[in-house]
Amino acid sequence: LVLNSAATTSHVPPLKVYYFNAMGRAEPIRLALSIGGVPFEDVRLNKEQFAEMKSSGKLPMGSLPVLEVDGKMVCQSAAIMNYASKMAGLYPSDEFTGMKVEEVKGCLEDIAQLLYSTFSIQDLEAKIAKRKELLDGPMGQKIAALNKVLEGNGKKLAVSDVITSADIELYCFKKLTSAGFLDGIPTDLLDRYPKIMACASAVAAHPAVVKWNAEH
Amino acid sequence: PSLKIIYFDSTGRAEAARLALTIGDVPFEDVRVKKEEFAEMKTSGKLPMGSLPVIEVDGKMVCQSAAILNYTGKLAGLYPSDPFDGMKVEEVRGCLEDIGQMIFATFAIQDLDEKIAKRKELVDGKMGEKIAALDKLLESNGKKCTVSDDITVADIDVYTTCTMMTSGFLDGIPKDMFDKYGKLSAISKAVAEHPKVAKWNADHAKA
Repeated sequence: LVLNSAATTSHVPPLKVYYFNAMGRAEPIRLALSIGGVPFEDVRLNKEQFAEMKSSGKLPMGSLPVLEVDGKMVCQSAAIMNYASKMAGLYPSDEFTGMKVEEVKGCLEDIAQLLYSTFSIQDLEAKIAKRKELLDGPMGQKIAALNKVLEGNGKKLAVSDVITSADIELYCFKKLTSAGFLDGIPTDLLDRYPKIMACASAVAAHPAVVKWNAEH
Repeated sequence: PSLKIIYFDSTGRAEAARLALTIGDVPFEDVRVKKEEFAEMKTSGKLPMGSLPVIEVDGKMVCQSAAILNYTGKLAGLYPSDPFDGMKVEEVRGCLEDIGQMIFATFAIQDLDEKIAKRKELVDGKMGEKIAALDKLLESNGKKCTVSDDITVADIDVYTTCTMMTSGFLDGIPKDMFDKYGKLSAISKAVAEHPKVAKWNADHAKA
């Protein structure tokens, strides 16, 4: 269920993915490279190391993740995912389907932003209440709409009959919401969205992902 | 394919795609909807996520401005085929979006003085830092244009973001705020002076 997986591996320069010791905005990238059999160094920084990299000026925008390619540092998780997916053979070559991948990513980002906006709420009760409001409102609506977009695409998975970066993003979102550490977000939030679940499950079942999860 | 870009009658999140197609001489229908029409499209379920812009490609509606810019850029020959260069385009896109989000967060502030104060704080602080960092990133790319020696959608993206922010419509955002950022200013100017962009702007100037 994977597009020409190792086809481009021979042309890929040494890669280092730098992030914190967490899934966050690096996990889709790590999984794409793993699924594609693209070798990379999975560098995880603690707070002090991050602060050091920041003050040394090595980080283009002072943020993580960054990808080091041939000694060049590139930031922005969506950009890195775009490249990693192509190296892994998981990015569609035709322009329209490429746009459909970016459509899924954009929708997920909008949904995630609503969630991120609640992270800074200090009071637990207030945080849970806000999250419920979002789930009953715009966030719930957007998730439902995204599921409908995926169904409308009429493919086995998100945008194609094989795994693309869009499916990996959906899988990571499913992992985030079902992890149980987001107070007020039910772990079965996405269960009622069959297409989202199908895409996430396909990625979860991939041998490289099974191996990755076992090792981490 | 037959293309329609559907958005409000403003630059906003559609202008970059409109300019990409225009520079690339790719024919498209530039559809601008009023509030009532937008509401109608929303309730009719035509809009995938109930938002604009959408692009209609041979009758199929696709949303998300970044996705649309990606596609129109490729049709127009303004998107690099090399994956590393493509990543550099998306890097600029992401940085510009982060900067834009900081401004968008101020739109909801009701009190004008408070809004202006918040924007000044951003310009002198976090947002100013991000813009300076982006300018430095573009310098270090070491190309004539944003990510290559030829214009790409990244250049158009820089132009539309800079002009949106310095349009004068954003109270508290000085019109000359990008003057001190050499690379961003130069790129923005180069796009503005592109003959097809100059013509587009002249054709769409509001009285």
